[in-house]
Amino acid sequence: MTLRVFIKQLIADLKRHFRNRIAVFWEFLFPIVMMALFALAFGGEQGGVSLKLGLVDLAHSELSGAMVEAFQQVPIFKLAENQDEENLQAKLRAGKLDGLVIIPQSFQAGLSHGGAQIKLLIYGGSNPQVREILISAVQQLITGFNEHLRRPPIVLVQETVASGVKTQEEISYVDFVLPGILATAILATALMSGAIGLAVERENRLLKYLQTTPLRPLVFFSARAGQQFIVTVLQAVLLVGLSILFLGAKVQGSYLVLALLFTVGVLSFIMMGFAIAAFSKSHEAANGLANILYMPMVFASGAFFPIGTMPSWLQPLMKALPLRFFLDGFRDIAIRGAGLAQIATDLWVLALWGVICLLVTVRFFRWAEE
Amino acid sequence: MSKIIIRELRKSYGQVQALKGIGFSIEEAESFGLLGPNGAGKTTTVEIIEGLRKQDEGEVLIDSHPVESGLEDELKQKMGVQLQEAHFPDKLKVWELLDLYRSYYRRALPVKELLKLVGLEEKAGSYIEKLSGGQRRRLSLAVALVNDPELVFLDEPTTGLDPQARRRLWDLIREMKAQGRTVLLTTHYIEEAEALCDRVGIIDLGELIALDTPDSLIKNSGLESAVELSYDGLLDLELLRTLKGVRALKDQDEQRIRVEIVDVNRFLRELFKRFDNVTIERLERPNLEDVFLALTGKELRE
Repeated sequence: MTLRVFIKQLIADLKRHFRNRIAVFWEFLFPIVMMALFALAFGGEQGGVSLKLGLVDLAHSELSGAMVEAFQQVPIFKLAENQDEENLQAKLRAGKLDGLVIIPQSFQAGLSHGGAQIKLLIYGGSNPQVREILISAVQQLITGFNEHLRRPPIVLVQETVASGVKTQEEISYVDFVLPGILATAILATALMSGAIGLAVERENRLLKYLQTTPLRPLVFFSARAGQQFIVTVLQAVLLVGLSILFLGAKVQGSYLVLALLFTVGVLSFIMMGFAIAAFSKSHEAANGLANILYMPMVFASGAFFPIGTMPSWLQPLMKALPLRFFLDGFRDIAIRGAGLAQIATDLWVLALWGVICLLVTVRFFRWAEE
Repeated sequence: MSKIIIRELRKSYGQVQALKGIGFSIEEAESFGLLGPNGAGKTTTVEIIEGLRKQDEGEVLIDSHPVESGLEDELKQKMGVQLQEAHFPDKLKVWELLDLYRSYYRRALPVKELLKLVGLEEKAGSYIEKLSGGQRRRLSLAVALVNDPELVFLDEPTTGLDPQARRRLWDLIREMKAQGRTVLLTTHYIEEAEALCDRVGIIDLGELIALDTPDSLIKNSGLESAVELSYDGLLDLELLRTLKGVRALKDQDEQRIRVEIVDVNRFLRELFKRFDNVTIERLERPNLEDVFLALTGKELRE
């Protein structure tokens, strides 16, 4: 019985939503156009790749000197040399270098009996495309050397160094901006449509009428949340799908973890929309309140520009907004391949926001104007 | 046994006393009207009965069960409500809305039957936003009837409609009553109360100032009717003046006179017994509007 009502209510809510062309424009077409524009405007920068590479020669032999020279001649390498190893390692961990090549002391000795190694440390936080280019460029260089040597080949040993600090400069702009645009689309659904829709229905006395029917509030709100969730899933599939197909966006981590983050995040934003409706006496008030939360979240939570570029006094405030946790989590999974453990904090914070907003809704929501 | 009993309802909004102790009862299958100007307390009264508002004092019994604000499911199953100017979702089609609302109830009338009842069969597939004002009101009646309710509440069902649309709705409401439903309606149209209600409660400034059938309200008001007569030849004015109930005679044009009387029927019977040269040109009876004016000293429609 209850399930049947829920499904009917859900279908009716979905029909109403998709028949509203303005909402569909803002929630689907607009983000796709934005994504394409951003990719066009900033995507070009990815053309000229340069790799920041540290180089340490500890062997100081003839051959190692020749290798250093060879590295110097590769145009895409921006080399950092003549610094001690420790210093360069620190820079690598801070993400200021994409990679660090070390020619060890044992290099010369190893040459004769086939144990010559070159170490390549790779910064784990940089764009995977950058990492791939780096590895293949270094490998090519060594393969070239091996072909000229009549000795056992030099072996390249790779090691990925976990990123201590996240830096966002190295990430492709498409990958960076995708979660931001997706978030604006989701918020348009959950905050704007959600909150304003409820406020309008209250003003129209539709909610008041429903109070005279046996429809249970829980069923009403579940159906509404379900409708919004389905809309946001479609938004995500469309936006992420198109970005992967046409703009070269990549998701490194597990789609399952991404889906979990998405679900928790979206539900929390939907609850936030309900809470806004609970606090607003009119749809104008709901619109205003939704905008007050939406604007700073979108423009200052690092949706389009890294938080690091904001004025320092603003940063702590921006970091507390829930959108930021969604974006951080999303980027960690999509760009850096983070797993469940790494995004646990983001999940918990989002869930906490959702629960708080739900409690606010239960406590303050009114079905009719007094 | 009374279907609805209301005792001493009081309700204040801040300093404003909206209801100052209203009480009445509505019988099973009765059509009961609350008549009064805007702001008299009609909607507040009805919404307390519907469980949408909470009274400060007093009690409401439906089928002998006391009603608190927030009605029980059992009661909701058997009542149908039309709110004053409620809008239904624009982007749903007429049949979709009815189909959705049907699902809320254990027992419901088929969509087809509902549409036929309110004469909206041809609009079944139209979006609600495309309906005219009268069609929307008919839809809201269909919504109120979705669960085939025993009890129907109609809050100003025809306000803002043109006369033709109003007549159509009246037929519908009479039909509801004929089906044995108990109807409580509020209105500030006199003709509506006269046309539709078995009994009318007149409410003003939060108080019930009169309660009776429309006819009794008029008859007991002591208000005068007037008859305009034309006559051939001469008229015996002295004889006319002595007929029962005559209060005043007023000459009008030539061969025409206006008679003000208390009891029209009796007067007319006597008139035709005594005179064979008179014709009735006009008959003015007091209506509820006059009763209302007499009771409250003000016009109903401001």
